[in-house]
Order: sequence, then structure tokens, then C-alpha cells
Amino acid sequence: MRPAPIYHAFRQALVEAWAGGAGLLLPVGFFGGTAILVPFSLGDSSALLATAGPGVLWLALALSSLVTLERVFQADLQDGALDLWVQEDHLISLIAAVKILAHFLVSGLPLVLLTPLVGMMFQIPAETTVTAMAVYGLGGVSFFLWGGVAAALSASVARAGLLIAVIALPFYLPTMIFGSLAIQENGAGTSDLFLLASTLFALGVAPPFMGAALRLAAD
Amino acid sequence: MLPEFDKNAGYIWAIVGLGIILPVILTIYTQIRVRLSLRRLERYRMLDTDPGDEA
Amino acid sequence: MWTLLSNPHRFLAFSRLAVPIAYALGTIIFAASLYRGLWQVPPDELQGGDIIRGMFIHVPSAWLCMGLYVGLAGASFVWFVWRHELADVAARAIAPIGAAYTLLCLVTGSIWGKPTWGTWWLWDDPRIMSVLVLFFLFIGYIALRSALETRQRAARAGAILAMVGILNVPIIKFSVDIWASLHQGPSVIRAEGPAMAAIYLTPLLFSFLGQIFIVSAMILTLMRAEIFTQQADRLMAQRLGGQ
Repeated sequence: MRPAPIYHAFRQALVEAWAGGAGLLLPVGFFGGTAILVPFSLGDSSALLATAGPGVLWLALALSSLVTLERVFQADLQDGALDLWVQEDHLISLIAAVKILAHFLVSGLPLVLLTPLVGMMFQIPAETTVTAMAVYGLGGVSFFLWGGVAAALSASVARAGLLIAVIALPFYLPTMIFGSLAIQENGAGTSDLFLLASTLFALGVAPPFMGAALRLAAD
Repeated sequence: MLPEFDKNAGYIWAIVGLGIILPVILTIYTQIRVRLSLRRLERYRMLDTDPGDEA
Repeated sequence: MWTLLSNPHRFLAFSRLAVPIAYALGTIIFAASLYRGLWQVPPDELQGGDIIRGMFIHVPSAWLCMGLYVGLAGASFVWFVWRHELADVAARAIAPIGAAYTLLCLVTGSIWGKPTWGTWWLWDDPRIMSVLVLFFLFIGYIALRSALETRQRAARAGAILAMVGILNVPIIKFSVDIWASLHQGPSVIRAEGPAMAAIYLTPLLFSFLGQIFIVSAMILTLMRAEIFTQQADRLMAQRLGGQ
């Protein structure tokens, strides 16, 4: 009985995320759209693009997480799956974490994997790409975790998009800061370690709070 | 007699003014809320003049 | 003292006296500190002249808004663990006051920044960034509570958010400090340097103390309003149920 609900929740979340975002269309749309539109708004000076590019990609990642997370828990709340899950104490936190992970895999990871392509369009030097992907990956996980807490708290609220954004914004900030510094340093400084630490912190802290919030929503 | 400040007088008075006005506004706000809620409570209490509905 | 504050009736009796006393005390102390700061203290020629007087408002507001968020988180924790009803009432009351003083801190900081650093806004200052984040933490808390329908749900959700918030505050502060130290823009003039002369420090501390009393009075007042509202709601529910 232990593994089954988790696995089931994971698969279900994958399906939801895929269908809800029209497959890869939503995340790719965000990144692709950003990559195409931003040079028009910033001008095509390659120095400016290379400097501003990483920051813009962070924004795309953050916004993508906020958009997809709005619906993460609402469907479960409405169809009663939540009531089933809260019956076992520690299960709900694990299920929440797994759902978030599934959504990250569908809506966040593709953005990370697209980094080389987008980096090319922003004329970011190629040798930084691998580090950048790792950094974006860590940052994306963190965004989805904290966004998940905000989404869980707002699970019973209709059209909670703005609420989730307002709640999650302060918690996104350290990831943004450490992440963009890590990209700049390209493995040289300590920021990637701080990013890793804050993401691990999120991994430890966010799921229990998501569980508590979901338990409250199910009552 | 207000003190004479140097070239930044406008800024200083703006800051001090805001620092005084904000607690005043908050006081008005909190006082209105507490009085309204107390009035509502007493109104309900007065409606409960029938004895013996509940124990 | 704890039982005094955990029993609603006792709390109402306590606060009935405490509010006017706190207001009177706070106003006197605050006014006295402003008198010293504006009339008596000489301008600091090293730090831009008279503009330093702005710190008697701006700096206490920063301390206040940070302390209020800690208070919010603490009250939320107490309620979450021990379910003291008054703790939730306190959290609810603290939020708007905290948000207001955070806003005051940002605005007075901006006004102070213009003559001091030449700009209305400064991204490089970690303190401005921290207070801005604090503002969003307060607003998020207030928004979340008002979005949820029942009082129980709103209280529980708010408590969770406040606890998540306070856990993140050290990380946020740390990250903002790092970011600001790397993006050193214009040299930041720190009015409250490591050795602030007593002549400035004393009015500053008294301003802080006076405002603490005033803010406490406001919070107690909002708590009273909340208790009255809850009692009225209970009466209404009883009447509807008893019919």
C-alpha cells in the first residue's frame, strides 16, 4: 500500500502537467517566446543580450512555475483525491513533493534543457552552458517547491494565480539571487554552493508545509 | 517655532510629517473598527432580551 | 500574566486600561524624542547636515516592521502549537500595522535617499531590499487570510505562511546582503555607524520606544475589535441555531 499512492500520484501529476500545459507547449512557449521577443525589446547589441539574457531566462523559469502550479492541487481537492491522501500522516507531504517534482519535470526541466539553444540566441558564450544548465535546474526545482507551498495554501481559492504569485515572490528571491550570481561566476565563486544549499533547504522544508496546507484544505 | 533647517528642509519635514501622520491615520482606523464592532456586539446583546430561549 | 492574556475576558479588561495608557506614554515619549531630535540636536556636518534628522522616523520604522513580522510569526507559532485563540487574534491584528510601518519605512527611506544619495530608489542597498521583501510577506499574509472563507481555515493557512516566512527570512537577508555587497553602487552613507554619538542615539532609542507603545496600543485595539466581532458572530449563530 505504501508505494502505490505515491507512484499513482506521480503518474497522474505527469499526465495532468502534460495535458494542462498542452504537452511541452507551455514551457517551450515561455522560453521560446522570451528568446524571440526579448532581443526586440532590448535591442540586438550582443553585449547587452549576453548580460541580460541569463536574468531574463530566470524570469521565464519563475513565471513558468507560477503559471503551471496554479492548478496543481485544485483538481485533487475537487475530486476528493486529497481526502484520501490526508488519511495517512506522512504520506501527504511525500505525495505533494512528488506532484511538484512531476510538474517540474514537465514544465521546468524542458526550459533547462533548452538553455543551450536559447543561450545561443542570446549570444551567451558556449563554455558556460553546462554549468548554466545545472544552475537553472537547481533553481527551477526550488521555484517549483516554494511555488508548491503557495499553491497548497491557496488550494481552496478560485482563480488563485495572483495570490500564489504574491505569496511566493519573497521565497523566490534567494534562488534568483544565488542563481544569477552562480551563472555569472560560472563555477568560480561560492554562489552555486549557496544555491545548492537553499535548494536542499527547500527540499526539506517545503514538503511538510505543503502537507500541512493540504491537510487544511481537505478539512 | 519650527526649527530652521538647511537645504534639505523639505525632505526632512516630509519624513517627519509622514512619521506623525501614519500613526494618526492608524489610530483613527483602529478606533473606528473597535467602535463599530463594539456597537454591533451591543446591538446583538440588546436583541437577546427574550429570556428562556436557551439556558 | 499568561493567563491574563489567554483569557478573552481578562484580556478585554486588561486592554481597556492598557490602550489609553500605552497611547499616552507612547505619545509623550515619541514627542519628546522628536523635540530633542528636531530642535535640540545639532546637524551632523559629516553626514549631510540636517537630513540625518530623518533617521528619527526612518530607523525606528525599520526596526518596528521587522519586529512586527517576528511578532506575527511568533503569534502564529503559538497559535499553531497550542491553539490559544488570542494568539491568532494577535497575529491578525499585527499584520496591517506591520504592513503600514513597512510602507512607512520604504517611503521615508526613499525620501531620505534623494538628498543623501541623489536617487529616489536604490537597488544596491540590502536594507531597502529586505524591507521590500518584508512588505510582500505582510501583503501575502493579509491576502491569503482574506481569500479563505472560514476563520479556522484562514487562521491555519496564515499560520503556515507566517512560519514558512520566518524560516526564510534569514536566507533572504543573507542573499540580499551578498547581492548588495557585490553590486556596490554609490558608497552607502550609513548614518547609524558602529559608533553613533549618544547625542543622536538617545533620541533615536526614545523615538523607537515611544513608537513601540503607540503600535502596541493600536494592535491591542485591533485585537479588541476582533474579539467583539467574534463574540457578536457567536451570538448571532446562537440565535439562529436556537430558533
